[in-house]
Amino acid sequence: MPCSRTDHLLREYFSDDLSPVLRVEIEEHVTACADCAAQLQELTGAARELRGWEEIPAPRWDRHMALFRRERGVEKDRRWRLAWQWIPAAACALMLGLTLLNTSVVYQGGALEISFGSPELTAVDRRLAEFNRLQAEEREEFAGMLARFEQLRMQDLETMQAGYELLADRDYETVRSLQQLVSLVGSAGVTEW
Amino acid sequence: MRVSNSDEKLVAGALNGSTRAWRQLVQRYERRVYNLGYRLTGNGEDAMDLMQEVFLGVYRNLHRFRGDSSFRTWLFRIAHNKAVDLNRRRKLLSLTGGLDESGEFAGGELSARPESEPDHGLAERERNRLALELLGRIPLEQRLVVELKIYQSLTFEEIAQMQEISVNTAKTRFYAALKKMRLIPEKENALLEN
Ligand SMILES: [Zn+2]
Repeated sequence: MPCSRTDHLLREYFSDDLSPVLRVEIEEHVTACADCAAQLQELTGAARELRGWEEIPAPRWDRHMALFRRERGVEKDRRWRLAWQWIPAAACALMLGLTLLNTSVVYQGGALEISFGSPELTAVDRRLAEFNRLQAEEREEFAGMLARFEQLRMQDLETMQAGYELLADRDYETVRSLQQLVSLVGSAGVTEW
Repeated sequence: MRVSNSDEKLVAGALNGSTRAWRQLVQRYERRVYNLGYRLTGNGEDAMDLMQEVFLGVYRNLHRFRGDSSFRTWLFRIAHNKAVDLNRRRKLLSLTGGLDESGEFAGGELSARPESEPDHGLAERERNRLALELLGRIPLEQRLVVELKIYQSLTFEEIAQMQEISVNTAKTRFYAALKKMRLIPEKENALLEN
């Protein structure tokens, strides 16, 4: 007569949340019950056969790479566009670098010569130095002229002051003469006019 | 030696458009998925179809992967659903075949029978032939439980969620599958058939 507990017990035996207590109980029953022991052996045998599967390597395939590149490659393009935005800034930096390093680029006899920090002054530099020298001379000359003008002005002022003082003296003399005259006339009875 | 990236890092990389991350992610699981397909369908051609479908599903749903479960479990959920879809399509294609008494479609269902196996490489793998012979005895829904339990070591809880059944039903399906696949001694087998 077959055991009535086989299916219930063995179903639990193959579950992954089997408690240690139930495991012991099932194992004790199985050692005592021939039906359950036979069934368990057949089932574990099947499970063992299945686990004997040998992995087969996957054949070569595209891995949806073409699809991925087509649909998500947009990201890549966006990155390129970002790179393009850096070009003006990079150009500015390059120009600044060339200027600071006093770079000279000379095309001579079919060959391009680039030199940094050249000790020879370029034509432009020479002209600029000459211009600066002339400007300095002019400034000096102008200052000299200003000084001479100031000197003359001061002399004129002194002359003017002297003239004024002389004039004042004369006026004083005149007033004095007039007073003398008045006193003379007054004493001679001029008041009767 | 390069430190291998976690699945989650590769998913993030692939979402950012990194072809390298996507390739690495597929390479990591393609063999596993191909073998799963082989055991479920019983032949290399269908296994290849299923594998491509699975990774297409992964690609299309990558942004939905939240990391609530492991990537592996998520991947097998997709594989599970794709296998069910493929099986349904096969059934529809074979509607002219009609139903047999058990309600299963007589033809067209994913068979997992090595007899229809055109792959000669498999023939050399005797153990695989026996496994396929056993798997061929059970319907797809049970075969999926066996696949996920024995080969992918998922819990009955995870399997129950995928099949939208209770944990108890998942356990019962697994046990019923094992019973159908048990190795009955030849004498007993012959006795039962008579
Ligand atoms: Zn028993």
